[in-house]
Amino acid sequence: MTPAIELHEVTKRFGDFTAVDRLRLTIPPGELFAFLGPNGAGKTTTIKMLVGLLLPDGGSVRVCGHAMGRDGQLAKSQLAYVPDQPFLYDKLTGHEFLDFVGRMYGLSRASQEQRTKQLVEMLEMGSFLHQLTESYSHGMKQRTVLAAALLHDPAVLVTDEPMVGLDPRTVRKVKDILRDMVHDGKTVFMSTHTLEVAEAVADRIGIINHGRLIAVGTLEELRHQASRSETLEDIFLSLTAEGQAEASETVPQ
Amino acid sequence: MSNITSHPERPRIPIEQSGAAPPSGPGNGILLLLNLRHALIRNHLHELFRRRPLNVIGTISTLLLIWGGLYFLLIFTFEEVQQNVLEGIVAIPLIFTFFFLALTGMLAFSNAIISYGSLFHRPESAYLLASPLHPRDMIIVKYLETLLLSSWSLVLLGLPLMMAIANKLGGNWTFYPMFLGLFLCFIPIPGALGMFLAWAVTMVFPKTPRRVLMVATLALLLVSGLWGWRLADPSNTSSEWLKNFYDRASLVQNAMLPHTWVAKGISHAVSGRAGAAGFYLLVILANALLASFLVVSVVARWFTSAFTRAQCSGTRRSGPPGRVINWIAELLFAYLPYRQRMLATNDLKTFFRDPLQWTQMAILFGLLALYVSNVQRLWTDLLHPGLQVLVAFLNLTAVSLILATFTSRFVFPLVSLESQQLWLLGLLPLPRGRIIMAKFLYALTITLLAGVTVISVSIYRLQLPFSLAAAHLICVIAICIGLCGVSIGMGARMPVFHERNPARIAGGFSGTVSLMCSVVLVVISLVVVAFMSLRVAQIGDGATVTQAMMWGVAGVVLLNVIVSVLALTAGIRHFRRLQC
Repeated sequence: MTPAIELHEVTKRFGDFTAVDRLRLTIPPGELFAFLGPNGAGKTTTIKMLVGLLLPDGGSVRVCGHAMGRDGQLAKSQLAYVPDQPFLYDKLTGHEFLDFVGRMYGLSRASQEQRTKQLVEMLEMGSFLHQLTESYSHGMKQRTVLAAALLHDPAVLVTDEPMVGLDPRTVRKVKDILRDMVHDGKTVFMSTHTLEVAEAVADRIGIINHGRLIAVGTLEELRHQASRSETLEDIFLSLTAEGQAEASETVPQ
Repeated sequence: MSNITSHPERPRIPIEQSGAAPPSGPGNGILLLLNLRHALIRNHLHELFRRRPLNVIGTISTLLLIWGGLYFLLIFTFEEVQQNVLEGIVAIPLIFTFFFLALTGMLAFSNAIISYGSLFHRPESAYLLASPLHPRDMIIVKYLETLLLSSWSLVLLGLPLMMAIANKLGGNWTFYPMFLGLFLCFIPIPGALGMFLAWAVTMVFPKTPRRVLMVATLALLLVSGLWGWRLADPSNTSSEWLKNFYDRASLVQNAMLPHTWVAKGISHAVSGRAGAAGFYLLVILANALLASFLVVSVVARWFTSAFTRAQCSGTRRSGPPGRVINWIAELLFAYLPYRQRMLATNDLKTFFRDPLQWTQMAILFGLLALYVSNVQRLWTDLLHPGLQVLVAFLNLTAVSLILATFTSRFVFPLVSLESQQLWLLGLLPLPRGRIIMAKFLYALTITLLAGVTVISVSIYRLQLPFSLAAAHLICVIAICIGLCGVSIGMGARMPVFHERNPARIAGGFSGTVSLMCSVVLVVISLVVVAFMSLRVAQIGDGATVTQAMMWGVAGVVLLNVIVSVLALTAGIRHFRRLQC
């Protein structure tokens, strides 16, 4: 089966600083993968290379079998990306934005209307859909961006901190939506600092530190790797603390 | 493993297809993005007319004022040139050449700046780059948008030029379509150069592209100024000077340069030679299309590389090191108490670390200083007291109007930009009124430095008598006090806390009101100075301190101080009541 996401020896350097170091990761369809790491570990850089916003200095990125560099348009048509800072056009209404996104992904008018209706109901966006997005709160923006990302029913959803700024009710809805996608055979790649969310919804978890993937597996496998039978928070702190110690040994003072 | 399971009653999103087909046909993506722009403009205009009608009226009135002023200035210039028939025949095509040469430089520069921001720093670029749209479609639409944004004001300036030429130099009906065609087809040539520059600078200097663009422009202006200075050299006899002038001017009239084509095309159109004008129109059109095709192809082909480089650029600190700024601040604000000096130092750091602020001020006041230091070369009969007074008045007018623009654009947003730090300011052991006064004194110090320096050079080069020199210096100081008071006072009275972009703060409703108040204050002050200058010119002796001079100076000082105090008082009162 073709992997949904394939990162092969991906490296990114900013001057002398290596943000991502020979990252190898394969995610099959129908999996929710949580990508964890401390600040500055290389999570956002990896995501930006995955969605085609940054070119890697080495290695290759494939989405549903399409190389991000050579077949960028094909790879991107299978993707949806929800960044941590939601982007919306200030002078469009939510409805106009969804209409634009639907046309950008080549949806027919009928299927676009049907999908919009369902997503608006599901994310409870009806009360503000026809207002200009410049008047939206952070939560409203997040919901609109998520609806836009799901509109074309992507095979792979890449999301950076999807729960930040959302109220508990919407957090629950988003968790449900992500699990439903996975149930339907889609892949979700989620970067987050909220370990409880990762623990609750992820099939597999990857931990990156200093640009290197230091651990990957199910929660059970990570427990085994960390020789701990505790929460993800303990495992995360234990694994990243080891990386921190290694890094401080190698970095000249 | 997950402990979240689908709730049985919750509606599921039906799956119709996996992924979707992006708009793949040629031009589909362009049409989609153009439709998007149309919707954005429509909604924006609707909001503008609904919420800020005064803003719209103010903008249109200012445009009409500039338009009318430029039209009459051009009419006056052509009349003056035409008075000497022989010189007019040679000089008018030369005026066109220089006008379009200047236009080429300005358009290329503004396109480079706008393209850089639009391609590499607007969140929209990242959004569209992650979408299945072809980068070429995005580049084409952004190129068109940049051309429109950078040239709309120049297109408006082109219309009074066309009307003035038609009025004074004649020409049949073919002149109008030819002029419009030549002007509009010319714009993409410097536009393409500007976008290419933005892309090339990002590829080569990804860490400091803005600074490179600004410094290159400053260098270009200095070289042009030097060239102009040598061009206007009056040391030789008239015939030698004329020969020398045309020898040097021939440099910019090269037949291979686009601005020469448009200048020649317009000259032919004025003379009614539609065929020759049409030839130049086709030459410009062909070159504009080729330049546009090349720049779009190159930028689209390597856009992701350039975007990657631009994203990796945010690590270098901009501007001089902190201790240098601290030292300058200690020197400039030595008269302020410690805590207010610290606030002023922070503002000075922001000023130096924002290339847009210091380079715009350096360019504007550099050009003015260059002009006033060469004023004796440009005006050959300055010993005549009337002309001396007139030139001094024009210099003061230019300085005052630039100061009004500068304070409205950069000083007005100072208080609004504190929105993120308002809680911190609220905790400071400093009354809020003093925070506003610190900002006022910071702005006043900077504007006084620039304004007084240029006027002092002007006074020295014009060799104005002491009394007139003192009157001009006092007036520029008073105008600085008035303008800084209006900008800071109104900035505190009508702050825009939801916006972080200084340009948007200045361009909003309260920013426009502040600009209009500043312009009105400058105009009233200059009317008083104009009456004073007229009286001095009538007497023909600037050395005598007349009653008119005393009343005039006192009037300008009183007006500006009163306006400044009123605006600051209103601002401080409102700022005191603000909740953190």
